[in-house]
This record gives sequence, C-alpha cells and structure tokens, in this order.
Amino acid sequence: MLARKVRQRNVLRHKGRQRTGLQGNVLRRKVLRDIGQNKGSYAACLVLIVMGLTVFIAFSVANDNFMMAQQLLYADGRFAEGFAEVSGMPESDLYRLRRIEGIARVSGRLVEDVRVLSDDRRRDDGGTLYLRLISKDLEDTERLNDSSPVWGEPMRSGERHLWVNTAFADAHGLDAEDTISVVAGGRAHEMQVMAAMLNPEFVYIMRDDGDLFPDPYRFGVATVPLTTMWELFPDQRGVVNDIVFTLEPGTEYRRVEEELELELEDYGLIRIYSRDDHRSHLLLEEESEVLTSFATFFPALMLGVAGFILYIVLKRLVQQQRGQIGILKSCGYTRGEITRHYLAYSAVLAVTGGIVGSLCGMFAANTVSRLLFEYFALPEVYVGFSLRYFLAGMGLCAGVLGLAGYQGVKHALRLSPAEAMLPPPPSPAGKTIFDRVPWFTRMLTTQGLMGIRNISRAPGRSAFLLVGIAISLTLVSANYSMTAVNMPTFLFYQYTEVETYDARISLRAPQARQAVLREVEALPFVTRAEPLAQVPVTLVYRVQEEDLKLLGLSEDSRLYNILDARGNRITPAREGLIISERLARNLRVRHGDTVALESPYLRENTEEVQVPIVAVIPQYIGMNAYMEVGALERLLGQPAFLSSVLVRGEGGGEEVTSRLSEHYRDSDVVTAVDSRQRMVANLEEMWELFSVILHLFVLIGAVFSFAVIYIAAFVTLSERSRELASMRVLGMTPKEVFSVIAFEQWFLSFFGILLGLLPARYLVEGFATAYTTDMYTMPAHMPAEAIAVGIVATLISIWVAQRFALRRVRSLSLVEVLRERE
Amino acid sequence: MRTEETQRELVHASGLKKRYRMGEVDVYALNGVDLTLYDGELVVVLGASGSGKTTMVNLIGGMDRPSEGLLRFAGRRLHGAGEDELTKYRRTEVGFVFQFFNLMPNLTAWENVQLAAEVAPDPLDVDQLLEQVGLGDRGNHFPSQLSGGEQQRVAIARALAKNPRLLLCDEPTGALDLTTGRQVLKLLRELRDQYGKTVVIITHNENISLMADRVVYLKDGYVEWVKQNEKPLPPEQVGW
Repeated sequence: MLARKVRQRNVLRHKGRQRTGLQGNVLRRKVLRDIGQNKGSYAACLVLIVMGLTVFIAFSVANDNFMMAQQLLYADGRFAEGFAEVSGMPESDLYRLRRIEGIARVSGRLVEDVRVLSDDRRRDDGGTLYLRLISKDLEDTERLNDSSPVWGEPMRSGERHLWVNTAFADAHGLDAEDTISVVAGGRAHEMQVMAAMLNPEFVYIMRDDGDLFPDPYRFGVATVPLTTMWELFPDQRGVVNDIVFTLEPGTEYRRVEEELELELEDYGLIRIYSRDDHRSHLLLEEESEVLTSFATFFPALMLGVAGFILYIVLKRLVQQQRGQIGILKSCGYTRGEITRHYLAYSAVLAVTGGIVGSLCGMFAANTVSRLLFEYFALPEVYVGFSLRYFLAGMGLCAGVLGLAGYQGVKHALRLSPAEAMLPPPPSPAGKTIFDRVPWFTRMLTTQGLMGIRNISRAPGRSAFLLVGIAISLTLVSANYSMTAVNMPTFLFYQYTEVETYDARISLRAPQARQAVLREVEALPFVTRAEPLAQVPVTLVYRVQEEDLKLLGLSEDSRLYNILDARGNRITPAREGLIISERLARNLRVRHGDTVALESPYLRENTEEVQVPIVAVIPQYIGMNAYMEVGALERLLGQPAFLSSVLVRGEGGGEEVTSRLSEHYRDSDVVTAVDSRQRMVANLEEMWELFSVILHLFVLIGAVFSFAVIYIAAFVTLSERSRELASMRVLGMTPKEVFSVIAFEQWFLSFFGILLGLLPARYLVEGFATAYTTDMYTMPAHMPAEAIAVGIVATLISIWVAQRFALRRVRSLSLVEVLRERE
Repeated sequence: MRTEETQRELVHASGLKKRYRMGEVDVYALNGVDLTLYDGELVVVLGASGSGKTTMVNLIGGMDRPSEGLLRFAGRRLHGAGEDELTKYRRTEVGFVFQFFNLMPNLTAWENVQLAAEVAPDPLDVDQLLEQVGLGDRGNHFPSQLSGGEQQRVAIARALAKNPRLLLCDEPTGALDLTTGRQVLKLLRELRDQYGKTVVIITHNENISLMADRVVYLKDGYVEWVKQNEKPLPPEQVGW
C-alpha cells in the first residue's frame, strides 16, 4: 500500500516516446563516436572496401557493357561460326558448300590487302598504309559478317564506293564522300568513302599475328561492293577467296570442317577454322576473361584484408568495452541487441563503403568501358546504373564485413553479465616457445624479450602481421617482376632481339627468291636483304594439331634471329623444325619427336610429310616454327620462293622504309613496307600507359604493407598502453618504449618476407598464365632484383608506419592511461 | 520504520549457493544464503572482502545464476531462469549502481541515462531525473568532463531511469571522498523515500549501515546476522 502511495507521489513523468522513435538512438551515437575516435583504422578499412568495390563494380559492369555490345554486333552482323581461306573459288560454286549437311548459311567474299596512297606526311614515317578490302554482295540480304554503318550512306553496286572501319576513318579524319587512293591490280584507284562501319569480324583489328596492338592509322578494313572488287582485281573476276558460314543448331563444327576440307581442297584451301579460333573473337573473349578475373581477384584481396582489419579492430573494441557490455547487460539489453550494436560498426562501414564504392564503381565503369571501346570496335553500350551490381556489391560488403564483425565480437558476447563487469583475467604469462631457446633470449634486451614474448602471447595478431607482410612482399615483388622484366621482355624482345631489320617488304604472293633478292640488293641504299618464306601449315602430333605459320630463313640470317632461352643464336635448321615453347606445349612434343606437317603449299599428291623437332625456343609474340628456307622448299617440293624480304640499309629504319615505300609505290606485287622502328615506337607508347598501371600495383603493395603494420602497431599500443606508460614512468624514452613493439614487428617481418617469396613466384606465374594466349606468351621470370625491391619497399613501409606509431607513444598521456581502470 | 511483518516481500533467497570451479576444486562464493528483502526498504549489506557481497547482489540482480538454492523476485522464480528471462528481469525490475560508475565514456550524461530508458517498458523522464540528481545543466557533458561524484549521480539516474523496483548499489561510495560520498548516500535515501524503491547498498564501510532500515552481514558466503535499525541516521550524519 505504501509503495502505491509513494508511486502516486512520484513527481516524475513517464516518457512513452522513448520506446518508439528514439529507441537505439543513443547506441547509434555511440557507434559513430567510437568510430570517430579510432578513425584511422576504420578509414583504412573503408578505403580498402571502396577500392575493392570500385574495381568489382567497374570491371563487372564494363564487362557486361562489353559483352552486350559484342552480342549486339554479332547478332546484327550475323557473325559466322566458321571461316575458310582458299586461293580462289568461282562464286557460282558456292552452292556446293550450301548442300553440306549442318551448314546453315554460306557467304563468299573476295578479300585483298591494298596499299593506300597517302599525302598525309604529318605522321608518315614512310611506312605503308593498308586497307583490307572485303567484298560485299549487295544482292544477298542475309550475308554473313555484315557491316553496320555508324554514319554515312549506302554503297551502290559497281560504284567505286567503300565503307571503312570507324577507327581508320577517325585516324584519317575521313568524312562521307571523301576519297582515298588505293593501289589494286597494279594501278591506283580513287575510292569514295560512303560510310564508317563496325563489323563483327573486325572488332579488334590487327593486320597479322605479329602485331600486338591495333594501329588504326596504318591498317584498316573496308567493305566494297562485290562487283567493284572484281573490277579492281580483274584477274579475280567471278572468284571469291574467303568463305564464311554458319551452322545448323546442334551441328558439330568438326564434322562440317572435315566435309568442307574435302570440298575446298580443289580450290586451294589455305586455312579453315571455327569462330573459337577467330582472332578478333578470341581476343574479345580473352579480354572478357581478363575483366572477370580483375573483377574477382583484386576485390577479393581488398575485401578480405578489410574484413580482417575489421575483425582485429572489433575484437579489440569488445575487449576494451568489456565493462560497457556488462553495463548494457545489467541495463537489460539482450544479447541480440548487444550483438546488433557491435555489428553496427560493420554495418556503418558496409553501408558507407558499399554506397561510395558502388557509386565510384558505376562512375569508373563508364571510364573503363570507354577505354575498351577505344580499342575494340563495338557499338558503345553503357549501363548507367546497374541495380544488380549495386545490390551484389552491397551484399558482398555486408557478407564479408558482417562475418568479420561477428567473428570479432562473438566471444565477448558469450560472457555472463557478472563476468563482463569484471576485468579480464590476466593473459597467461608462462614460458613461451622462445624461452626454450636460452641462448637466443640471452642476446635480447629487456624490451626485445618483451617483444618476443608478445609474439607467442598474441598469436592472432602475430599471424596478421606475418601474413600481411608476406602479402605485401608478394604484391611488390610480383608486380615489379612484371613491370621491370616480364612485360618489357614480352613487348620488346621480338622487335629488338629477334627481328633486327630496318624494313620488311611483304609480297602479295610468293615470288621467285633469287630474282627478288637480287632486285632489292641492287637498290643503292640497301646493305643487306634476306628472304623470309611464310607457309601456312598444320602440325599434327598424335591427336594434337595446331595451325601456324612456318617461317623459312636463310642459314646466315642476321635480320631475323632464332634465339634460345639464353639468348644465343641458333642457325635455322636444315634437318627439321625449330618450334616455340608454346607450340611444343600445345602439341605435347619435345626435342626429337616427329610431327606430321600438312600445308596447301605441299606439292600435289602429298598430303603430309614427317618432320623432326630439332629445337624448342622461347617466343613471346606469335607461335611459329622455323626452318632453313632451302630445306623448307625441298620439304614442300617447291622451287625457291619467298613471301617477304627483310632489309637493312643506310640511314636507319625510317629512311630505308620511306625510300622502299617510294620505290615500290605503284608495285602490284608489294603489299606493304613496314618499319621495325615504327613498331618499337608504337610499343613504347603503349608501354608508357601500361607501366603506369603496373607501377600503381607496386605502390598498392607498399601501401598495403604500411596499413598492416600501422593497424598492428595501433592494436598493440591500445592493448598495452598501460604497460608502455609504466615503462615511460620508469624513465624510459618513447623510443625505448617503442622498441618493444618495433622489435616484435621487425622480428616477424623477417619471417613474413621469407613467407612471401613463394607466393610471389606463384603470382608471377599466375600473371603470366593470365596474359598468355595462343598468340602471346608472357614470360614468368622473377629476378633477384624484384625480390630486393620487394624487401626494400616492405621495409620502408614498415619504417614509415612505425614512425606514425612512435608519434602515438610520444603522445601517450601517462596520467590518463595509468588512471584508467584495468 | 518498517518491519518484516508489515512489508511486502520483494526478494526471497533460500539456501542460495554459487560455486566456481578453480582448477580441480570447487570454490563456494556463496554457501547457502537465506535472505528476504522487502518492498521499499533500504538495506545495507556488510562484509569483508571475499565474503560474497557482490556475488549475492549479482544473483539477486539477475546478472548471474545460482548454482543451488531458491531465489524469487515478487513471487517470480529467478533460480533456473533462462538468459532471456533474466534479461527481461534486469530490463524491468533492477537498476545497478557500481563503485567505478561504469558510464559509457562516449555518451553524454543525458545519453547515458537515456541508454537505460530506451529499453525499459515504463521509463522515467530523463531530463527530470537529471534535474533530480542535481545535474540538470550537465546533461551534455561527457563522463570525462564530470567529477567522480557527478559521474556517480549520473549512474544513479541511469539505474533509476528504467523505473525499477529494486536498486542494487555495489560500493557506490567506494571511489568517492567523504563529502561526495555523503551526497550520493543522501541522494539514494531521497530516491528511496520519493519513489519507494527497494535500495540495497553493498559496502565494507560499517558507518554507512547506520542509515539503513536493515543491515545484513555476510561472512564466508552466508548471512551471519541481520539487524533491524530502530532509528536510521540521516546520511549527513554518517561517519566515514
């Protein structure tokens, strides 16, 4: 009764609103203030999340844009599923192919490379400009590999019209109804540009397998009405030399290929291949794979590290806030409410990082897409905002950080309220593993001994530091290996060590070797001319087979060097083939094995010849086989021939190329004069862009190391501030006190660096594998220099991070720290 | 003055034990406590260090579970209660005050009190509570900006904010000087008088027992004696 009376006298009023709108407000404020107090660690975490998500979304969305653009172009242009090159086939015979079971559609085209006569000397180093002319049968409305105009007018049959690819038009500033001069059939012809177009067959446009990057100024593709093509090349009238086809649904390409081979044999079949081996398509698919692996590996690493940092930070937080957890429990907060409160730290990071990262990712996606569309001739498709990836990014973030957060806080939440109110029991301080090595501990100062014991007493943090430093070394060393060694080797080896000519004259068809060489050698500025015979062949070993170009070189070749793994010159073999390592791997052959060689150049009635493999050499660009040119001719049963002439002359590359170009300006036989120096200059330009990106990765490795050391030092400092403050009270300087942490870190760093060496090696191999295709082989060297750079960068990062940590020791308030309740 | 006969029973403990495992032996922090607390009374629990005072208050406050014995709060069984039930009990019926205040350092005085009010089904007004404990103008200050006495007053306001029937104070003056300690005791007494709360104060300072309605003395984990104060002294007269 008395209680009721007392309650009636109660002057205080209950606040109903506190149960509704404001609930959780106070804890939310606590979360934000706690984060603010430890903003360095959370910011490090946030930066990693934002970086990871940005890359994930940017590359995923860009890949989607890329794939969508590809599908759009392929569907619009009816992209073929099979391709065949022949010497010549009457167009009227195409019906024979259409009868083959499994073939849905067939289109025949006349394809010829022509030189473009340019008056533009601004960028002209004397090298040739080319156009690949492809006939277009205007009467066939369902033609395969059709072009789509981006701007311009239709072509008319019989007119000197052409549609050029967009990149060529842009590079030359061409507009509708501009004219260009091409040399065809030994004569110059004025052709009118009617439109700029995209074509599914030429998304990534390179002239031949030796090229690394498109050069839209020097090489383009143009479609020309079929009747006009026949007028330009009167000897090809009524003939097609390129056949493309699609398959009936469910048809196996291999079966059709066999029948086609039989059918096309009489027309001089040069090459037949499926879409999977089509160069532009292959590069597109590979680019998509690179984008996917970028969108996976990098974000996984970043989010993984962010998760781990958050785990460490939250674990430390709940240990520090043990008493506060007790208070919350004593106030009646449930375990679920307290768990949610501590997971809110993760949630703040996940939401902030998720939104910022996703938005940055969406923004960057357009930039990445734009870059892709610069190199790949595709219709530009941009997804403005992808809800799917936004949600995926947020989900990924929430998943990783939620899990990390829960792992960090779960242990403390198991405590009963009464336990939580008590200070944690002192950590066990028995003998550590290092104390069992007395000679070692005797060498240490007291601070060193404290540091070393801390390693085994905080195994989680020690592991974090160890793995963090290992990852840092891995990233720096592996990226440095790629930047300083492997990429430059890949890009420049072929054009500085292997090919050493000034100019290369390509011929439209094989020519009599001696006559051509004599003619070129007779030019006053030419000091040396060597033959190069290129023969399309198929090498077969057991069930493996590869289509490639076999190169015939003179025995004393100095302008095209066959080099072994140590860089020593190998003489082109008379008795067998020298093949590239990649080809050997694909065919699964070794030195001494014998392969079957098939080629349209083999004399009649010879299907194949057996050739031994006499050497295997590294080759980074292209995948070729080599032989002495005379031996090659005997093998094929052909008279002496060549398909290109390699030239060295007076005045250097540009001068020689320019003079050769001028000399063969109106030649019907010469299709191109290429400057090697020009190629190297192009590569150097490209390399500048690449090396910036790769150096950025080296920097990321160093920053990573800094972040790990800083976080570890911060956690140690906050855990042991009392102990360190006591040491300061004893009269030790901040440096002496910090030496406890520093010794622990340097000691672990030594092992972290050792631990990082093997993964670095694997990462280099991983990079090399990712970049390696049938056409390109990325070397996978990791020189001692890369390891040294990795170690130095890691050590510098550690040193810098420790300077920051030392500043914290200097600012340690002894009174504050020692006053705090344990 | 209140007597056992006229008061309604709030807490009843019988044969209450709390056992801890220390290595291979069992140690009893409480070894059979029999005790009844009544509605609206102010009880001081005395005892030497390790006598089981804090353990007993933890069990009564639902912070821990007894190993053996019976424990009831207003007829409701607390022994054998699950975590959810104990949480609900702490949320609605008990307020705690600790020796070292245990305020959330990152929350202001007002927010610290609001923290408790937020989870209670029938909370008291936070502003008025702070007024009541003399900190009406200090609500926006963080604990580090308050003196020890002020911090303890915030802790008391926080304990009261849930409007609990039982206020458990573990050495509430242990970290305070004489003047501040007396102010805190006065406040506890006033709050008991004003709101009719049952207040339990744990202390090793025997002088404080002079202000109690009843004094409970613990020794070696059991209640050695219980004494009724015929004339409790006002806190201002309590010695130190």
